[in-house]
Amino acid sequence: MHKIERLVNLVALLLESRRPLTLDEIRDKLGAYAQDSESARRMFERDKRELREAGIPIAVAGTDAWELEQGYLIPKKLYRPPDLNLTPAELAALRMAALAWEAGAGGRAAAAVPMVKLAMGSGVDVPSARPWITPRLVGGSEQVERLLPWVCDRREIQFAYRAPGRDPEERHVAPYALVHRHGAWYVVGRDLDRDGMRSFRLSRFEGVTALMHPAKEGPEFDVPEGFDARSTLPSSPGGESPTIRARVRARGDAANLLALRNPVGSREDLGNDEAILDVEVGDREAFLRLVLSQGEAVEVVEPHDLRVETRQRLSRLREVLP
Amino acid sequence: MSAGRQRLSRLLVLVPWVLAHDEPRVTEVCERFAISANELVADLELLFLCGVPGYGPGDLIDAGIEGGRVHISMAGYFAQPPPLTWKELTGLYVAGRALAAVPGGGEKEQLESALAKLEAALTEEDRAALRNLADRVTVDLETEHADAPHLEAIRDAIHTRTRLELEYSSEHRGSPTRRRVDPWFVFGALGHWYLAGYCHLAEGERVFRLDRMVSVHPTGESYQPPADLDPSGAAERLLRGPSGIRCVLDLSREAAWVAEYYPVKESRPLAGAGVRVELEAASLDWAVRLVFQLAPHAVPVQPPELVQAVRVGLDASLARYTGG
Repeated sequence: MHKIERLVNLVALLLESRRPLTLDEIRDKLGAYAQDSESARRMFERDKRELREAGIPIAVAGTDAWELEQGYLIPKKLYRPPDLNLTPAELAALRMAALAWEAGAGGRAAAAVPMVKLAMGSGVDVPSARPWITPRLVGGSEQVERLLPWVCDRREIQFAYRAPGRDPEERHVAPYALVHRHGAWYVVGRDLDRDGMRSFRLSRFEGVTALMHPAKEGPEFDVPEGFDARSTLPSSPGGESPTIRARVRARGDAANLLALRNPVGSREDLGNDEAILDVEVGDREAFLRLVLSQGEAVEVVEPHDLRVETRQRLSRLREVLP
Repeated sequence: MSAGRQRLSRLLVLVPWVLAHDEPRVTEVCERFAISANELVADLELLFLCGVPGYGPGDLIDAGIEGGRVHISMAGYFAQPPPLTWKELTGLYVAGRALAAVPGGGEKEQLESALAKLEAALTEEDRAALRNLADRVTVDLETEHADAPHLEAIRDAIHTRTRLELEYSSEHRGSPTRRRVDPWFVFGALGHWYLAGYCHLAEGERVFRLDRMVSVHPTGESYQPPADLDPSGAAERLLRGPSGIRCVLDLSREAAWVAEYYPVKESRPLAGAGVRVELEAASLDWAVRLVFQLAPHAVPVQPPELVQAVRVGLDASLARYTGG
């Protein structure tokens, strides 16, 4: 028998029954579990766990007044979605959230399930209009799903981490928070071996993360008062630095692009499609990348060190070019 | 989520939905659950084998398709879908809060009232757990650039199906272009907001980064969006670009992040700490800009046109700095 078929039948059986059924009765009626009673029990426990993860409320109760034997059933009054009295507009807004969370392959199908539950619970239909905006959070990914409970319960984690261009290293971390920024997920927390705050990009995790003290109960660390995940994370893949003012000479579209990124800066047109722009630079690395990406259309005039660095980067590339 | 678990979750919701909708059309069911007709047929075939055990006649679920309509019967115990799972609830809650914080996002009010209703239905203990979780998960949506002014105008245009005129400053050489665009949807990717739509200048589907729009104006003309638009699939397809130029780059450690930032087809470590990657560029121009912005940490290897274009560009750039 197909496994999903067995699970659907088990739900149907436990929903339809008016009294708790013992495992022997379930085995007897379902005819789907192994002959050997020990492996049948293991199989049933796995099924039970899987159904509970799928939100099925399986209750355990004594089968008679003396409670000599335990039985299982699904109370009908618990097997229903909540009636939240949601309006169609609220459902449409939640649908945007569901689609953002489940973005990625098969995302729309995964997002449909909670939406139909909520809509049926509220007695309205799911709006079918496509949302006009979809951020891609990809929060329904296996990694985020695994890490979430550990971050919430404040459990220490260990994992192999592959920083770009390096061999994987074993890390031990007290995860303070999960952060989504620039289209990627990060764990921010205290690196227990280096005793410092670090951020780790989930796409660089290798192998599975694991609890270090599976037997311990309760939180294993405290998150310091005033901890701010946003400020711990570098603002761009390169790094961060204090704000400086820069003057650039730029041509045509590149000048417009720079002005667009720095709406507060001043601009002096030189004619001949060239302009001198004063811009605020919050992130030196990001600014350099932007300037460099424009090639000969942009020249850094000031400050001197930024001009020198731009020139050096260009000439170093020129030297290694075949 | 594993495919098996997702299928089980879907089946337990699909049956009550079909039961409540009195033989809905196949297309309707597929649209609602975002599955193909083949997947629906496979689901119904599986259901046909299920039922309350005893397995006498009348115990099994009857499920099938007739005349383009889906019918399911003998499944009265599945009249209700199961409760919301904790994972579903937390996903909606975290994503909902993040969306409500997007300036110009528009649905703030509806999201906030919906989330309040979700919270109110929980036990005190669950509510505390949900708030704890929301404190532990920070979602920064693509808001740090000066995108927000355009979001509202674009949202209105999508809702009213109004063609837009964009003044768009791409990173290509030349002056900003004016183009008329039928706006389909906005998506976030790689830290930016993008508008996907039909561009009348390019005569094809295009994506536009919101922070490169100089101005956005509704034209007053209306348009019909394509009927079979799938935002999640389209976003990925459009980001990859219309045509691909295979490029090989040697990245040193400082630029190795590129390998996880852009869709890289192949990547293998080089002697030292570097990595050689193969990626598909939408245009030669895009590849040149990528190499330039990473200078000197990305060395172009293939194709020869790329190496040549970078060399010419570098000489022109360096000429600007000959004075020191």
